[in-house]
Amino acid sequence: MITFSSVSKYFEKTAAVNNLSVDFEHGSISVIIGPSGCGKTTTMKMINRLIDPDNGEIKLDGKSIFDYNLVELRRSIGYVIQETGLFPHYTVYDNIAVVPRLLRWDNTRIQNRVYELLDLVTLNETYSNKYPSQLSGGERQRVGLARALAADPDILLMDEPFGAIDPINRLTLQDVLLEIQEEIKKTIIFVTHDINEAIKLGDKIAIMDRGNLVQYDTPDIILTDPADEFVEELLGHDRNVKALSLIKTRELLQNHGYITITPGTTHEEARAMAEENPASSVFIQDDNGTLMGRYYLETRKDKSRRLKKVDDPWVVDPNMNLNETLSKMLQTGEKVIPVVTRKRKLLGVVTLGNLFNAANRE
Amino acid sequence: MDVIHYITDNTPQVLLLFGQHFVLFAVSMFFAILTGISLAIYVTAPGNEKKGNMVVSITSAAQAVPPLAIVALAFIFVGIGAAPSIIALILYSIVPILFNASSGLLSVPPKVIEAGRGLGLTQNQLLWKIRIPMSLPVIMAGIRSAATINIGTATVASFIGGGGLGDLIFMGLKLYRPDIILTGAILTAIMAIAIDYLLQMLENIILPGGLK
Ligand SMILES: Nc1ncnc2c1ncn2[C@@H]1O[C@H](COP(=O)(O)OP(=O)(O)OP(=O)(O)O)[C@@H](O)[C@H]1O
Ligand SMILES: [Mg+2]
Repeated sequence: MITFSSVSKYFEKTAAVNNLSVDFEHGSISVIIGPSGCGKTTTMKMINRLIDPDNGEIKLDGKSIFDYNLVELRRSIGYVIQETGLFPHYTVYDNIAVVPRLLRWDNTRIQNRVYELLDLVTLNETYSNKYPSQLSGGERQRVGLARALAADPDILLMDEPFGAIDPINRLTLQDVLLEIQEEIKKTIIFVTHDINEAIKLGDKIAIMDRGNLVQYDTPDIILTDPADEFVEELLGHDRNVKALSLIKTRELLQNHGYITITPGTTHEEARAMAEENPASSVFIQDDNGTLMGRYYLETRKDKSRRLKKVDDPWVVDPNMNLNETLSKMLQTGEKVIPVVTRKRKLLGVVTLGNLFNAANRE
Repeated sequence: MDVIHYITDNTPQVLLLFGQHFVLFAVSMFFAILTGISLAIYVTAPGNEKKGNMVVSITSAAQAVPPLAIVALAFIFVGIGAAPSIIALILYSIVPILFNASSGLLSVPPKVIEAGRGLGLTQNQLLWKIRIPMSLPVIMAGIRSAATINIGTATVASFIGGGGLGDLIFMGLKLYRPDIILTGAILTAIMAIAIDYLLQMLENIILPGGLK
């Protein structure tokens, strides 16, 4: 656990961080959010002593950070920043190996660790010899994360790590981070500007304004019970929709409203079944339960109907949150979307109607 | 051609002067690189940035001082011979080396340095593993331009008894013999081109990938 007790930091007499007391809990993601200049980065940098506080005390598991050897403290805290700060003259491999080499691990151990981490951040060994300039922004960010995790630190500090990444890749990186966190259970402090990102990632969210901590709570409490107008404004008008990101798609799954047919079914048979059940979606499912395709019964302008077969229909993952499922359905225009596992086993469907009901309930 | 005639007729003398010239260059460059880079490291150390920026401005202006002035000053303060010539050459070559090395070290992005500190690199490790390798292209460019200037300026050393290929130029001037002047000038140019080529090869070998 990281404990701040009445911590202040002044730059030329103005408080960048003002009398901050907060506990960042062990093994969970704490997000710090707030407008530019509110002291997020300063708060974070005081943990690995890139900045020293003027007042107050910061403890890691009960021991003051000043009682640790500075270099050892930093090596035991992973640090990821926007644009990553990767070393341009080092390959991906050498970047990730920086801290293990400082710790004088032997080469086999380093190699195993680097490959393991590349795998963890969904890259692979073929990236080893590339230089940062040869990577995309998202790939660089993954390497930055791998580098921070290299020596298996207990704490991970991430300062707007996905800030410069385009929205679609940002969602992927968030999923990667959540999956990794499920595996490694680090104490993560994550700074962001993006309230959606905060709600999605945070076990708890610390909201800051001009150096002060305004609210520190779980995402659902913040959404349902914002401390003041400032927090309400930060959340924006679409609080209901945002609340959807607290719910996993699997929780809204339903097993009716669709029929399944086997891959052997002929077009005519399929058409007959579709016309018999005009309110249902028609999915093709093999003996293992795998989704193999989908039929759409389309009504043309002249009222005649046509059956269209799609081999690779739009799907969602049961672990996506409802906010993400909603935007995917709005983007693709599907009113009913199948929910499948990573191996494409059909679990059920989510309907737009149910989604709107859920949003209104929240 | 007259130049080739002159060289074949006076091979031992030409070789001796060529050798002298090379020694003037090599010795002065060795000390210029050593002091220039050490000074650059010192003035750009964290917390010293003000000094660093000052040095960059001063060395940038100092590159406009004519070589003859430095040689003349060396003559006045140190006297005649190889030693004052070498001192003048060191002073004159330090300028571009110090300028490039300082601006190179100062231009390493703060984000990269911050990331390094955050990972637990010590100041020394930051210097040798990150800051110097990352500024190597700029540092090498400074060394190469210093080398070229040094070899050209070394001809002026002959003025104060430093020897080298400058002797041929001054002798040609005295005897009114363009072939001797040309011999000195061409051999100086050849040495400069060859050294620059060698340094470029060296640069290709030592430059870390990713910066090429
Ligand atoms: N080294 C410094 N010297 C002087 N003032 C500073 C320094 N670092 C930060 N500040 C000031 O302290 C305040 C908080 O800065 P901080 O970087 O923590 O903000 P932030 O919340 O991370 O902002 P952003 O979202 O823009 O990154 C700002 O007003 C900033 O100008
Ligand atoms: Mg910041």
